[in-house]
Amino acid sequence: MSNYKDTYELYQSTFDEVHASDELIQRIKNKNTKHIKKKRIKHISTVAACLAAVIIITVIIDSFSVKGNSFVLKANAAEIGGESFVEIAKVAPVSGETGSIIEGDKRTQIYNCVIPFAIKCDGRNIKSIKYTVENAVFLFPYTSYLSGYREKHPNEAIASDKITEKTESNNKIESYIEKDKQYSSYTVSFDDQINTEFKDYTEMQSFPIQLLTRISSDENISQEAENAYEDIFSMSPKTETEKGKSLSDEEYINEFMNDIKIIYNEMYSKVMITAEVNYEDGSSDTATLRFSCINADQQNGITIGARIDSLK
Amino acid sequence: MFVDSSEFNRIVEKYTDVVFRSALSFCKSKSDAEDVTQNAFIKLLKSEVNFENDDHIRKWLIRIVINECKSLWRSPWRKKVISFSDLDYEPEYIESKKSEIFIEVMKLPKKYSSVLHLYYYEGYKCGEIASVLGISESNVQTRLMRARKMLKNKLGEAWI
Repeated sequence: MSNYKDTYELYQSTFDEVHASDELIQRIKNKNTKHIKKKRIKHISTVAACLAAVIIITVIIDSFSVKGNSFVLKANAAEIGGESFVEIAKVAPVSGETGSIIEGDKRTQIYNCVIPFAIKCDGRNIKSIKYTVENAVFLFPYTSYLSGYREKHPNEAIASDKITEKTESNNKIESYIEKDKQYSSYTVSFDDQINTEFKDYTEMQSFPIQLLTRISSDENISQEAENAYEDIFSMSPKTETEKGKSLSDEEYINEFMNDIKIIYNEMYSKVMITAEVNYEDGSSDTATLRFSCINADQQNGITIGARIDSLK
Repeated sequence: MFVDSSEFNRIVEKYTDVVFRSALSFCKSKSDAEDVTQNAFIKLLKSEVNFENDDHIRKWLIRIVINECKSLWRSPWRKKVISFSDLDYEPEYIESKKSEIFIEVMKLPKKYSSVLHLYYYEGYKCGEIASVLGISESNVQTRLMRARKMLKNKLGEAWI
């Protein structure tokens, strides 16, 4: 017998337990702060200084700009700052599951990881933005151009010539994908032309793209990562077995996840994404995104974070 | 009433969950839903609409969410992108029944889950749903019927 009077009550009761995160709520409230400050600045008659907005986790590039130019980078709705790594994605840890694939043999183990990467710029007076990525590749899954290529080359991440697509809002997006060497180091760059209706750029859509990274045990990796690979290969974490103790299941899993964290950190620490923002007045700003594996545990999977490494 | 800066935080506290729930049932992705939710409130902050009451604000926000999601759906990028995860968000339910319902509703095609949510959660009539989605009322009724049937097939007695 149902505890609910009718379908309405059942459905409402189910969705009443869906809650937005506190982080989202705070982020939205922070928009109010920015909005108030924008209104006040409009009343200032002659100003030579930069915009003076305050946002909790985001470094606004205003301080490096003139005449009110600014941009804020976001990845997967998280605003990226310069102080600490901000969580942008979670993936499941092992082969065959969400976002992460392990391949290879006993000699060589290769980790491939795909995370959603809706990179977005909010800003003022932006004319164009160019993103370049090193040691990773942007994926545009299943675009009409690429799907045929994927069928013929199922083992390749992506390798295609220049593709051009138009969005509904008449933004022209061109992506250039140059294949440098097999799989692990593509250079991808694409320009987005802003719809002139969105003057302050805050309504530009995110790019629904993914970021693919890869690491192989036979590449030039740190000693720590080599040790982690060896641990996983042998399926017996060295730290405890060397001491002669047998591990409980939980201890074993913790050791395994620690090795995974080391490998993923090695993989992601090599990835760099540069956003070059060109403003209407001809000036430009550059921000470099760096990545890290913030955490890896059985319960939450692998947490990938990003931060702005440098502002120019 | 105009939503000025002093009123804004109160509205955010009151309606973020509501807006997020709608966005999630339409977008099926937590990151998209958060983006859409944030954008809806940014538009509220910039709007110069004279609202009659809080309920008017709620309906206005839901309409903005729908428009934002429509833009998302129309984008050729969005149509062709697949998500690596089937679901990237699930509340921690005590009742397993609710968990099953949530998962199955989220698995429904967007055209069904959006109608379902507007009907059962927001309390919209079929005519109102037709108006905001830009489809005919008979289409709304068909989608509702199909959504209910799909849920009934999946959930059995768990779905009334």
